[in-house]
Amino acid sequence: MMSHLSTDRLAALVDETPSAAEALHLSACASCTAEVASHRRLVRLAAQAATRTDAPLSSFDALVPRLRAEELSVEPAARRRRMVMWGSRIAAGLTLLVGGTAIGRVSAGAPLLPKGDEAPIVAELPKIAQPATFRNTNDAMQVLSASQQQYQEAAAFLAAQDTTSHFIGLNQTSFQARLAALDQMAAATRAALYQAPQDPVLNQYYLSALGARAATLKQMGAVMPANRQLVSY
Amino acid sequence: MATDQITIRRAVNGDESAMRALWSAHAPRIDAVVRRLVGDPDQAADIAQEVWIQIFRALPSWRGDSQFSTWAHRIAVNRTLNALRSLRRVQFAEVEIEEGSATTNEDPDRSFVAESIDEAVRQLAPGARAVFVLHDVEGYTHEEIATELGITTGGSKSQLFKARAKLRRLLAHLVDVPTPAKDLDDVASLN
Repeated sequence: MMSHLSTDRLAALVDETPSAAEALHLSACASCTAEVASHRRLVRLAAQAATRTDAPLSSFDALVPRLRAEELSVEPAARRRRMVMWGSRIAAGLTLLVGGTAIGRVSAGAPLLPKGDEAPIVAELPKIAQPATFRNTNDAMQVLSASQQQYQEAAAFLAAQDTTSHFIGLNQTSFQARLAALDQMAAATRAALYQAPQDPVLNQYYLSALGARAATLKQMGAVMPANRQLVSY
Repeated sequence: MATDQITIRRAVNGDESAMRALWSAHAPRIDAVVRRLVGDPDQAADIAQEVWIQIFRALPSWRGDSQFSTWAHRIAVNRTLNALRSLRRVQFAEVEIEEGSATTNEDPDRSFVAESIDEAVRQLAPGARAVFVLHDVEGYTHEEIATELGITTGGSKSQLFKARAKLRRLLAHLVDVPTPAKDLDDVASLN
């Protein structure tokens, strides 16, 4: 019978296949077999250590000065100021857009609102449903804005009707899923607006997501059981 | 994870709360691998800070084609090994592993087994510790370890087996498998 296996070889046999001679020896030698088993136990314990975590060594607060010095992060107060600034710019842009449209119509001798605007909203639906052609971007923006408003009002109306909500499959779970998706959309477009604050498409999606979120919260409140109240989300 | 992606986008834009969220979620795991590779707790703490700065610097290059935790983990390993090289603490060529004895810290807040393993691993030579941690704890292959450490796969295997043999002795109280009494003398002769 061959002599005992070396310590290195015993350690190797945890994940290597023994040669024929080694296998023969192991079948007859209890001590070498036990040694291999001990090494396997060691490796198993070490692998378990991979999933073990302790308190972090690092500290985020200690990282902050360097992150700011390298301009990798922005101080929250400065960030809030920047958000307010961009929010003001977006609001100002929308005001200019709406105001410009109104001034344009007045200066062209047209009424401030197109004729028929006072008519019930349902009466305009066939117009919106038809393939649209627009004279300019202002007209397109007006239709877009009106369509969104109508959609939200119609959705809120449907949500208020218990039977209709069930009929079209809207319930608390689906509203929660929608809210989660809207939050992601708002976060993604908000992040993109830091890069391209003037982008009208990003602005449109961002504001739409916020508007839809507010409307969904109302709808969600409408479908909740009578004994429960939506406090926050 | 979608939440990670959104948080990362915010962090790339300098949102400190998003950065803090990433750090909070991943620091225990990231710092653990740094701690195991470095051994010395004080040096590990310094290197962990550098690792996180590096992760935040590299954040815009994360493409989302892998888990953020995997990507950050790889940065942590690379950065830690680089730091150890610059400290000239790791001799990645094959080295003799010094003898020593394990001591255990009876900290009631930590697992006895985990503490014993950590303490024993700290007693390995830096190169052997890196190979052992990367292979047996982190699951790297010998080829990956050879690339990371600039050694051969044979060198990686050799260091691993020596490291295991030493740890097996240091941790006998944890890993011993009972043998028939007649073989006890044989076992002693192996050590």
